[in-house]
Amino acid sequence: MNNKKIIFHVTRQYMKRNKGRTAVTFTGIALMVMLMTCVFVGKDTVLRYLEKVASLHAGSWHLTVYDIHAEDLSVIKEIDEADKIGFICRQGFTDFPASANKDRPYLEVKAYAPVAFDLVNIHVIQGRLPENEQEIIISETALTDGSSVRIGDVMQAKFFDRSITGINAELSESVFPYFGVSVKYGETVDVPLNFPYYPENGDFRQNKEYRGTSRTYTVVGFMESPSFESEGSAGYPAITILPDNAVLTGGETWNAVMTFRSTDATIPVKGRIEAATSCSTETNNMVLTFSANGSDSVISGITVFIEVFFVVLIIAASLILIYNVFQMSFRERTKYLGLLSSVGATGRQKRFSVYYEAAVLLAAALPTGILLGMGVIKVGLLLLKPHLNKLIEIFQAGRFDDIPVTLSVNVNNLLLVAAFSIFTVMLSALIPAVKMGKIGPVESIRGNVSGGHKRYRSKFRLLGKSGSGVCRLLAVNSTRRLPHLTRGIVRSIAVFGMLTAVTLYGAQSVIRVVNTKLRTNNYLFNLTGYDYVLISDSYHDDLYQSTVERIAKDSAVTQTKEIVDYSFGVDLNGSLLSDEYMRAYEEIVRAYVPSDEAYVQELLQNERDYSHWVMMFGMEDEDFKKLAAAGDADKSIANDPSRPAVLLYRKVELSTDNILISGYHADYHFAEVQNAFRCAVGEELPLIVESSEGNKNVSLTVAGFLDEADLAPYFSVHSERPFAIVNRSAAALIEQAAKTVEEQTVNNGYKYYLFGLKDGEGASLLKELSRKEEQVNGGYHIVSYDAINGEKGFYGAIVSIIRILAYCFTALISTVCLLNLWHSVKGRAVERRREIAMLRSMGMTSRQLRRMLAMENMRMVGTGLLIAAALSSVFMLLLNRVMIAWIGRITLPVPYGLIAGIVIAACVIMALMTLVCYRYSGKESIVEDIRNETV
Amino acid sequence: MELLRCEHLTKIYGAGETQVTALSDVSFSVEKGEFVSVIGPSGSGKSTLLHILGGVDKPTSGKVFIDGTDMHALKEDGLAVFRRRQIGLVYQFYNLMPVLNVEENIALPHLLDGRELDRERLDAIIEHLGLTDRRYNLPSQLSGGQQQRVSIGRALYSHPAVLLCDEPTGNLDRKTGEEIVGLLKESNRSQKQTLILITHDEALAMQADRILYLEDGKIVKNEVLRHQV
Repeated sequence: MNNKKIIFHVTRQYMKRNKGRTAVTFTGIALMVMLMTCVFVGKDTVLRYLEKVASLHAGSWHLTVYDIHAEDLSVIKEIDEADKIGFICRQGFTDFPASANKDRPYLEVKAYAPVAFDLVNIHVIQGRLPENEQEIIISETALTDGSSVRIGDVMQAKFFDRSITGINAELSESVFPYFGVSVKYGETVDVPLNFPYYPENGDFRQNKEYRGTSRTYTVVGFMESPSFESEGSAGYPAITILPDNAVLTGGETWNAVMTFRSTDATIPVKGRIEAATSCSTETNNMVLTFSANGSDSVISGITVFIEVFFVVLIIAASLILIYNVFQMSFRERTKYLGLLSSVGATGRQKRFSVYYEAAVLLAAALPTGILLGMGVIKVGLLLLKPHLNKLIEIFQAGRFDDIPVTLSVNVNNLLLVAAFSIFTVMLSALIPAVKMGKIGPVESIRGNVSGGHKRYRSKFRLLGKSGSGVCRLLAVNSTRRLPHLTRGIVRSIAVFGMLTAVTLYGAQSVIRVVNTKLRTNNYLFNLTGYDYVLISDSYHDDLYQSTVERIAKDSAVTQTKEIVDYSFGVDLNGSLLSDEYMRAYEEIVRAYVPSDEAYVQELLQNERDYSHWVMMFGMEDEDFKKLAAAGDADKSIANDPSRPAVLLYRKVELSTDNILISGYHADYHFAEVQNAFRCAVGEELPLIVESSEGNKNVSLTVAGFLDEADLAPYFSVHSERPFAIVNRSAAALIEQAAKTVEEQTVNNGYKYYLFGLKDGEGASLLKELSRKEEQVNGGYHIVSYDAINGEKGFYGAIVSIIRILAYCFTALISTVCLLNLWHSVKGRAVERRREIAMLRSMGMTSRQLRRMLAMENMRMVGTGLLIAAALSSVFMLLLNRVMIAWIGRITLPVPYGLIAGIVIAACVIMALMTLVCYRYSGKESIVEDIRNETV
Repeated sequence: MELLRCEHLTKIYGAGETQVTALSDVSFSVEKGEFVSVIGPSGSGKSTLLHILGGVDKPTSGKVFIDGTDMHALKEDGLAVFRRRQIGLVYQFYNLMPVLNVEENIALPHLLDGRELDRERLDAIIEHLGLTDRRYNLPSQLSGGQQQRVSIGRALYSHPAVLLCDEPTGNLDRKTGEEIVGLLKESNRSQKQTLILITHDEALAMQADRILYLEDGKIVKNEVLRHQV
């Protein structure tokens, strides 16, 4: 046996003898590997799953190329990075006599290569997919609209394209802004595929330009409405097969959908195609967002940021966990290494002993941790499944296809886990190994490695008359004079506090940025307890009033609230906007126009001179008073219902997304304005109310200002426009100004009547309200509260996903930190077993013991949290600066409430851990504990 | 005057085939101020007896009375209070608190009792033990003899009714051992402190007033060497 082998043999024997310590170290490493697996494999699994969910909407394709001419085809076919390419040939419109919808009299037929059916997510709900050029499937909407078409029907198709011709000599131009179409008298223009079918009229004529092609089709199935189907379009989608041997002829164009082996190829290939051909392209942002390859650079940046930010934090937490585990057993290890040293082991051999132990434990912990990690991911995803299913519902709008969660294990990720684990364990073992290598045999055996020759003045001044002084004395001394045990806990608490706070701040900041960037609604109601909303414009005032009375009387109704939206009729002069607003506006303008100073000044002057829409809501006087009480308001004004008063929301959010300057492009920039108004409480606020008789001036008294928190019980607002709340008398003034003398031609406000229903009641009321709605042609609706209030669609779903992921990561990081804390507390308790037994043998009562432990905890938690506060402040500031440099002037609120929660959690968790870890005291015989020298 | 009495003490460890009887029906009593040595070979039950007398271990059966109190009938916290007031324990391996310096260790049982610190008495004991220049050192910075002196100081400072010493010199060289026994004897004489000393060193045991011989958990001989005056 050579000298290295004997060291390894002794190390193995030591590990066997100290099973407790070995188990603690093994568990620590296995948990670290498990968490790394959760990060690397879990991230991929979740993202792949979300990609599958996202692909439910428009398909799994990464890039679509439009208008491919014959000469471009070779460029498309030779894309090396492509995994699948499916061509699509538009056949044209054909008459659809079986249609039951007079606004949709056509079929819009396309031929798909077989692979394209999968990529575009075509689902057959009746019958089967077409197998040859003579078979066709039609969108299910034709059936739901009442069409008589059935499977097996044979139809003749004569294909045509659509155009319109202006026929009204008195009308200079017919404009269809939504479709980008305008037509002058005598002119004929092509219309887009989603252009609606208009009945015959005197302004323009619809033309069919026959292509000269025709086919006979047999209907073989009905498909779920494809994502590209527009309900306002004149034709129902219908799909046949594009055979492999189809040839793209001179005058024709095809489209192509494709996926890539790596999504990273999407943007470069898109660029290459656009440079080499005249084709236009579109990326599937829903799917690509999850791999940070979407076309929105901010969202892609956020995806990368989230990955890097959380992976770095997890690794940092794991590194400290393992370092703590090795450091905790330092003193105990020094004893046996001292013995080895006394019989001739060199410093190098002692270091090897530590590395050997780390390597042996790692070899066993690595596969264990990876398997555990995969198990945790699987269980975690099953727990998350209900939330993920909600996303599926959003993407599928009504239909629900369950997507099974499958682990996405890739060798590169496992190698990364192994590499990071080896790096972390060896780095963690390095410092204790170097320290141990330097300690002489005598100090090691006597156990005074850390004490040195320092003398410690007595702490009798700590003694109080209450009898608890000795507990304080012991607590202070044990925390100060057992630094190797105390530091582990302080470090764990500091890391727990710091990482959890920074992670929460990071998560909230990301959500804030994503919300700011993607939010489509300017405001949301925050009111709780309401189920339905009656929405009415002012043209239906009488009907609205009678319905409100009906609702209020119904016994199934629990609560009601009326809010009136005057947002589209009230303006504010730009001169009333603050300097801060103007500076923010200037920032946005300069993002577009960095060099043309004259144009910048012109835009700024316009902003000052012109009128601006105000988002204005009329509230019931009681609510107005409550808001005024919460905000910075003059109660004498706010509480006087006869005085037309307004509460102004200070904040405005400007960005390049909501301020557009035509002819210029800007990278995303955001600027938050904390106080948008140039007026004071008690002053008159001149407003301009639009009416058919021209603009009228109305003056309201400024009752006060509101902040986000003041408004929170009613609204959450993220708007580029000034936002204000008015009382009843101000609302009456506005309504009066908007009305014309003879007839009402301007809608002076949408009224929202919110009401809640008792569980399981109110069906007859809802049925009655629906019948009324059916009798009215628009402007009067009854909808569910969630329908007007939820962030719908893709971006809402993205925010939900980011929120879930961010909080999962926060929970994961907290778990690592708490495991770290658990190990430290457990290690300290185990090592102090003899000490506690000695105290008990000296006559310490269990109450005194608890008090001593509580005081120790207070000191350690206090120190840990102070360090955490200092470090978190630095990291949060850094994060804040990075975000501001990236996004613009944005307030990222510090989550004080959550931080207070962390402080309370640290105290409670520490107390609970102490209770559990020191359970042995009093349970075992004192003698047994005193004799128990090894841990 | 009888200070300590034990009646039919039995201590059994384990169960079934691994059952070991450490003490078997041991009864004896000790007078106030008496110095008793308990001697016997390894495994005879000496330390078990001392731990039971010190209230840090419980007998399987039997009773221990100190100053008329049935120790093991007390609840856990009551027993802890009784221990810190009535019993001074000196262990072979000192068992000092590693986080307290010399004077804090000595004052510990007294402080645990919530009593006012008697600074003069503390200084006197430290000086008497020859630890003045080490009073601010931690136990890990002391030699074995110094640590044992601290442990004796701790046992003496709070004036316990009985001092129980478990092989106090077993871990020390002869000269230091003699010094330690000298300290204990002096305390026994000057303070009238009842002293029970466990040792396997016959010469040391012979310095006591009485020797109890323990073998296989039983008292096989009770030899009175000298009577108390």
